[in-house]
Amino acid sequence: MLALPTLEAMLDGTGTAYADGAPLPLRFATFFWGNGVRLDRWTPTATGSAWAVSPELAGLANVKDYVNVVSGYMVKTPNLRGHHTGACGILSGTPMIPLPLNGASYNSKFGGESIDQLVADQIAGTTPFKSRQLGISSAIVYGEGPTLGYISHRGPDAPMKQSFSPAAEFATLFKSLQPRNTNDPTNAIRVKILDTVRDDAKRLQSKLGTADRHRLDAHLTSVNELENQIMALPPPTSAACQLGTAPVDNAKALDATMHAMADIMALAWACDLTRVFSLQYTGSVAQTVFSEIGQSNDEHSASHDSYTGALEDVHNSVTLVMKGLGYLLQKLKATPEGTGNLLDQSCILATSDVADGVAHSLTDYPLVVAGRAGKVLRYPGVHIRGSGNPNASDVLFTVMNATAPSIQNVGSAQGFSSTKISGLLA
Amino acid sequence: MNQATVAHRLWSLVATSALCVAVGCTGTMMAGGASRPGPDGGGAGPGGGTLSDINTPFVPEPLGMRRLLAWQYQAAVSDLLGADAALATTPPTDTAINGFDAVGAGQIALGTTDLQLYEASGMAAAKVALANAASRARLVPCTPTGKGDSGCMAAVVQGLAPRAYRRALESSETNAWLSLGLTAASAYGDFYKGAQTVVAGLLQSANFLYLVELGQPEPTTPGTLRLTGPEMANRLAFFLTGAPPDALLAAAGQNGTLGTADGIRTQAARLLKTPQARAAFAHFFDERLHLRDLSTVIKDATLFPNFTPALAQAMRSETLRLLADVIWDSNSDFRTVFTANYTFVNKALAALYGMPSPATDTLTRTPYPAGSGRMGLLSQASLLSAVSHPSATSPTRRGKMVREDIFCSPIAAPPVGVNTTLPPAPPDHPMTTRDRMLLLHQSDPSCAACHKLMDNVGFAFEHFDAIGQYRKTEGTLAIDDSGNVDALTFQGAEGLGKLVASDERMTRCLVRNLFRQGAGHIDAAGEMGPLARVDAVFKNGGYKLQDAIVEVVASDAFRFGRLAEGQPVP
Repeated sequence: MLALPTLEAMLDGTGTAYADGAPLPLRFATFFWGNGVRLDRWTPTATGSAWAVSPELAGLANVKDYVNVVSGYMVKTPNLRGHHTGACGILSGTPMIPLPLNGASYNSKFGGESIDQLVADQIAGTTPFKSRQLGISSAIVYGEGPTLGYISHRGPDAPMKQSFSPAAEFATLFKSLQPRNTNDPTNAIRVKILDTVRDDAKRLQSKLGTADRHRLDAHLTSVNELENQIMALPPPTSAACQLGTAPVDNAKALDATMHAMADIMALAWACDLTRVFSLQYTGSVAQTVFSEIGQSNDEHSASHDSYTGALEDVHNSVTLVMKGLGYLLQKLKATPEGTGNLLDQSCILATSDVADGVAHSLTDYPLVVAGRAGKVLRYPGVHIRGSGNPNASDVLFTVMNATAPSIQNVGSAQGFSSTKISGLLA
Repeated sequence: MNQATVAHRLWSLVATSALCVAVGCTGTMMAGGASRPGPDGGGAGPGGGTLSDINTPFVPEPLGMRRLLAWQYQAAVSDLLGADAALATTPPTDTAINGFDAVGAGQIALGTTDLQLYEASGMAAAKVALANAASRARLVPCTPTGKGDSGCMAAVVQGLAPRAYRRALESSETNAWLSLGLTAASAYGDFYKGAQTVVAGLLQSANFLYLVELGQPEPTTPGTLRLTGPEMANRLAFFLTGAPPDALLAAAGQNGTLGTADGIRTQAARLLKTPQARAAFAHFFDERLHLRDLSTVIKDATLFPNFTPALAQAMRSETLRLLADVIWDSNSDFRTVFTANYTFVNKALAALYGMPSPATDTLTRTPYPAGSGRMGLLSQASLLSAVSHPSATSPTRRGKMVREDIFCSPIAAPPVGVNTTLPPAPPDHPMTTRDRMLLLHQSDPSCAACHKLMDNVGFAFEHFDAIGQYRKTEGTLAIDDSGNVDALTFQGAEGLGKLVASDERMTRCLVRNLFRQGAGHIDAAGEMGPLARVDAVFKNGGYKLQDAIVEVVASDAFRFGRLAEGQPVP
């Protein structure tokens, strides 16, 4: 049984649920950029419903009602290493795992699964793609282990690679929408091959140690997911699920790439091909140069105020990243579903690997919670300002539980939370 | 404003923002930032063990499976199906751990995106491999009587599968592929489509994608596993040639010749004479020296309009060419790569260096002119560009590169919560990069503990800008390129090159990095003894890298392992 996009005829009278009473699907995304913000230009001045977009949040002005800003919260896992602790803490609620050095370079792994994967486990249903990972800037630091390289992780040894190519992502996600020859046995044979590959791996598995057996388990899970993708039936097209023109890659144009990825996300959600995305705009310790807005130094150097005008560059790049988020939110809002729109049915958590890049701080963390998650999250949005450094994992748990009520807590050690922020709820 | 006033003004910026906290830049960094003294009781890094390590009892590390690296995968496809088939593949990228793709390959699981790429690659390569009669004839050793000719399909499987698995198959394995081939042949109504399906499937098998090392019990040493003959042949082949074993090596794996250190030495020495070995170790240095980063490194286009992709590629080739000259062409003392008074330039590099242009645009051996300030690969534009900022030099990053990549001495994490702002020199009183760093990184002893280890090494290169061009002065200011590595002082890149060449941390680090690449894990304390023996042979033979490689693969640490946790006894 595969998920089908929602047709008018399938809905009940209010348009908020299927005719059989099952609710419309919810969607979830994490949206990430590296090196933090300038807190003096990020944090809105007023709190509660009186808030106005700050200079760095200006790109969200058109969808402000759908945006909750959370400030004053703190990533509680021990700050052993700048960027590593924050990225892992805010994306998984777990302490990162430093690897033994023993004469090699500094590296770490995630301490557990990232929140997008935990949510995908609960809400993916029978969609052909359990989740997808996207990247905008490919200037990623891979030399310090998976923590800095990737934002989605199925576990410490299972980082998930992001696609930087809108053209490739479009081709992969929307393949089932392309016309196909139903007499061609190739897809059935591809599944036969994967069945053979699975049995083959299982024979091998019994001879291995525990760690390698787990690694092959993950391999086999991937085989299963690939089979689901191959067998996916074309979704019935609806007004919102219409295959447009394939995007053309232009890796140097970050804003244009972000727009292309946002269009893909909206279409994939409208066609219910997947319900979970993670999007890494820039990486932790990003080496990205925002040349399209006149910058000539990398974002990480800028965040350490290492040249004249560096912090102005940070401000401008964060502002551009938020403009990209604003485009995504507007696109979702403009995509109808039921009697509402995709933004009513989704939740997007936007954050970074540090609060203030200059000091690698983990207090007063930058957090944006967008979308209504099926009217569970607060609308119109507010600015919640925590006092006394409350646990940033409370934000993670609140958005996860809003999207997947079966999730009862998140994280571990100091990053554990089972506390919901009531002010974020409708 | 006098110097002291400037210093005070700048220092006050640092002092009022945050103070560095004490961090350990004194011992060997271990997990979690704890430190232990070096084996000689001092602060030497693990790459800096001493000859006394030879007596450390050998404790082997667990065996297991490692994914073929992307370039090894393509070589394996090429070996199996031909170069055209390999060109049709787009394998997933590698994930480095501790700076090594080869280490990540032993730890990281494959995700759905990776599987999707392997699937597409397998399908594409199989299609090319069966595309015409000539290529078909190599894979199908019989004339099928029809789509359901199971005897001929079995011949296809028996010919190809053991080469894909790089071992003999069990009958259940053979039968599974035979069954797949016949099913596909029937569905397509075409025997060859069935054979193509078998090929596509074998390329997706875990037995093809991973080097599987289970070992066999070593009767004389309970708890120790010895790699089987075929496993050792595979391990040697992928490390030394980046590809599956050739016929001679596969035979040696079968007939027991690889059961002794000398048997391994013989095969290794033979493989090192092949062009594939040059390519494999080019990959090694490409990763170790950040050369591969040059294809993506970004420089300020206003300051450096000459930094084109072609120039970046030439820089990478230049360094690999110098290494090949020393390692392969002359098989001479490896240390001379740090003291070479010549390099290899094309026209663009000659222009960059201000050297006479070669007659053709191919890399041509050319002596550095007098007064160039350059010596050896550390002063080549490749490293200087890869380890700099987009617009500025970075003594910190350059020094860190020497410490971590050349000496295997990692630098402790920068303390968190410290304001790292490095204010520019006041416009009315410009300062050199060096002076700003001495002032701001090193006025506070707790910051200085680590920064003096990096900055004072990186100062060597201050005459070379962010893309490695010579600069006599920094703006109008005179450049001081003196520095020190611990207690040893030097002058400029030439001084540092000589110092590195004569420092045993460099050669010991190299041996350990070779081992990490070949064995797929970071050397553990129990492997110190065998690796110290490699150090000794390397040194006594006059530091020929080929000797070090041969001794690494002949060492006990490379030949033996132990059961992984939860692994049944093979």
